[in-house]
Amino acid sequence: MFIARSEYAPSSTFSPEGRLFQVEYSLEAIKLGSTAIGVATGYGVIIGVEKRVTSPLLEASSVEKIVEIDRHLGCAMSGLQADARSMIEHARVEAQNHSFHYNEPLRVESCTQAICDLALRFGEGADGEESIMSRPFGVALLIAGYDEDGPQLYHAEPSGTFYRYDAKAIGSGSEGAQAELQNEYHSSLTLEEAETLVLKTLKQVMEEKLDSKNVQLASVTKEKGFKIYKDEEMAEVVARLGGA
Amino acid sequence: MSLPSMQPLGYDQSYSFHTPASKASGGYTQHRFNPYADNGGTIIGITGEDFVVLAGDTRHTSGYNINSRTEKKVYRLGGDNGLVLATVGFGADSKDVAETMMRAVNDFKFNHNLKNMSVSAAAQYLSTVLYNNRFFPKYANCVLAGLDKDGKARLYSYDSVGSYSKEGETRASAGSASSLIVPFLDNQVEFKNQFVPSSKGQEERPVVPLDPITVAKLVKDAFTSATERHIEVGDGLQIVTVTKDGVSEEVVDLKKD
Amino acid sequence: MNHFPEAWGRPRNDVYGVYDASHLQSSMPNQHTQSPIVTGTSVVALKFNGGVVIAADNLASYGSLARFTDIERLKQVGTHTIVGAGGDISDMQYLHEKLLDPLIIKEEYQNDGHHLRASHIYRYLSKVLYHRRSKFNPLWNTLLVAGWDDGKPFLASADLLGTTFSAPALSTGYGAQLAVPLLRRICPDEAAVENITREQAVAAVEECMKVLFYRDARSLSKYSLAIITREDVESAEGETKERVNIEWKKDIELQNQSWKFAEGIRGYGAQVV
Repeated sequence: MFIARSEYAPSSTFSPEGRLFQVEYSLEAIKLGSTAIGVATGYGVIIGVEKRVTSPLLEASSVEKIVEIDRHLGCAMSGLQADARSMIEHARVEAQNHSFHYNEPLRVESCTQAICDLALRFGEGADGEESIMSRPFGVALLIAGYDEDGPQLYHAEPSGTFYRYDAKAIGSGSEGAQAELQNEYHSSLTLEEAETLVLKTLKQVMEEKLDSKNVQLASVTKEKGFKIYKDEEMAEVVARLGGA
Repeated sequence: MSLPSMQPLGYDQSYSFHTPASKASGGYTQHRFNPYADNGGTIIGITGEDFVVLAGDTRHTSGYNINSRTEKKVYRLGGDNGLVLATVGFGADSKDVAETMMRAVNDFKFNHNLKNMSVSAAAQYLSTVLYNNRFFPKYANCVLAGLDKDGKARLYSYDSVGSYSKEGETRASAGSASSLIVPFLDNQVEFKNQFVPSSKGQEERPVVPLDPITVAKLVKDAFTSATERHIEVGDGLQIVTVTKDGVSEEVVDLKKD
Repeated sequence: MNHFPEAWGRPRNDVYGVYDASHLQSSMPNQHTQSPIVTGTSVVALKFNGGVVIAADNLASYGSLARFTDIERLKQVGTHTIVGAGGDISDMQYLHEKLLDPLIIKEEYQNDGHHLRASHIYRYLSKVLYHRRSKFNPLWNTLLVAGWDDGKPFLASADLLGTTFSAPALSTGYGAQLAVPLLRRICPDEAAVENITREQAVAAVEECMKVLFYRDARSLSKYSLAIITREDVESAEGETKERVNIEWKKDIELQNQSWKFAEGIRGYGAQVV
């Protein structure tokens, strides 16, 4: 029986044009996600997300789009949050294993690599190897961390590729946000300036009006490691934005 | 850790694969394969400020037999990372531990974007390797050395199930003649029982890091003395020095009797 | 004369104390023991300038019984290597028939001009022995691997524990006590190898086989000897290539034996002086 070459065939094999549709679709899926932005400075990395509080009855603090991986590693996500859970779990185990075996924190790049190793384990599985997922992840991550090489920001895609960035935006507003970051970023940003830049950029691309409840910030610094901003801290930064 | 096989051999010494028959509580005689042997030899390590020396004799024994006069006990763990490991005890386990470490150091490099494993990371990893084998221990007494990221000398020593001090040591010795060498190093490296002459034994001599020439002398003196007094030590002395410029090795003669 | 067979050939009680015969009369069921059954004794080997010579007698003993007198304990493995085995004969046969022969067949079947050399065979055997001892199921052998490797003669030892070492003069079993000191007289270290001729080396090993036959009660006067050397051969294209040559001498009888020394031995056996 001839199988029609449908554009929607859920296949993890190459198309005749040499494309992997499933992976391409997953990349499309993350463009629907809420916007997340990361900015790396010499003093630390700031990551911020838009929370999309869709109902006044929704408890905003239960929307968790920034999580800790280790004391020196944090991550912001955009896309299918449930998928991110297994990636984060993997990264956390990897980070703990590393410090258990080597008595040193896992490097930011190695953490990103470990997450991306997981990303391509979909499809039929290689010879003799059990496949663990039927489809690629539908989530992209911004991984912020601090190691012996200083503060770093990485972007990990569902395709398993990753790059290091000075500043990066992902999700539905990423195109506009990335352009804004490109204009505003410079290598001597302070941490406060980075906070403002992240919020200012988010504000431009968000549909809702930005307030201290529908955005979330976190920082990774040498001194304090990963810190998610508390309500008061969020209020302070948002207030500073209003003045600017 | 004191191992039964490290007791001085008496006249009942025999092939390493021969376990003397023992009386079990039931009254019948039991024979059992003994998976361990003691291949003799001794290793030492001494740190300076920015260099570290690991040394070991090259005699390999089984009981009263000298199997070889040229078996080295100090291993470089990787190409350019300045990590060195000395192992002594049961020869097969010792080599296995050394090879496990070489593989781990190499794997680490490929898994972390060609970053070298640090000496403290290698130290922790070696501990986990040994500890993971605690129910069937590797009879390998290890001394690990290298320079940390500030160029400071680091030296770690282990028992056969992986106990070690994360702070490291200034000097270490293991193997059959370690009981002869440790007090010598205590006195000559840590200046134990040395006092400022004018203080009439009231003020301890201040400890200062040793220079390379003094360390080289101490190493050779320690081994020539151990060779005189211990039958399992002798033949050759492999001396490996780690500095910021890399790892160098020399082998000098010891007495062959 | 002592009429109890268990006392025959044992050290005299008046000199060495009463023999502990408790294991001979146990009312308990036999325990499954792990020990060699049919055994071979020493293997002797020596490097010389341009090669290695290795020898082992043809006896396989069952305890003190000389059970088989035509056992070959030296075996060629691939093109470059001789493996000599002491210890359990069935384990030796297992090593050859189940591990080494298939290994060599696989290697040679590639027909790519590459051959497993002595160091490769040695490393493989060392790992097998160490792995088996680590499973508490040892292959009860001491092996000498002799051959040609990377432009140099190769000689190394591996035993049932996975213990490995190398030296220019090696021997297993009783040979480690009796033969190695004799061999070290002419070959104290690696540097001495280049001053030893093939003839000297063969003579020294033959002498060792004789001493071993005099003093090792589990040895035989019939033995095999193999000489591994390198030779240059000219290929059809006119290139000179290195080829490893293995020369066998089988069923050799020990020559010029003299048992005069035995006259003076006192204190063993049934004699009462």
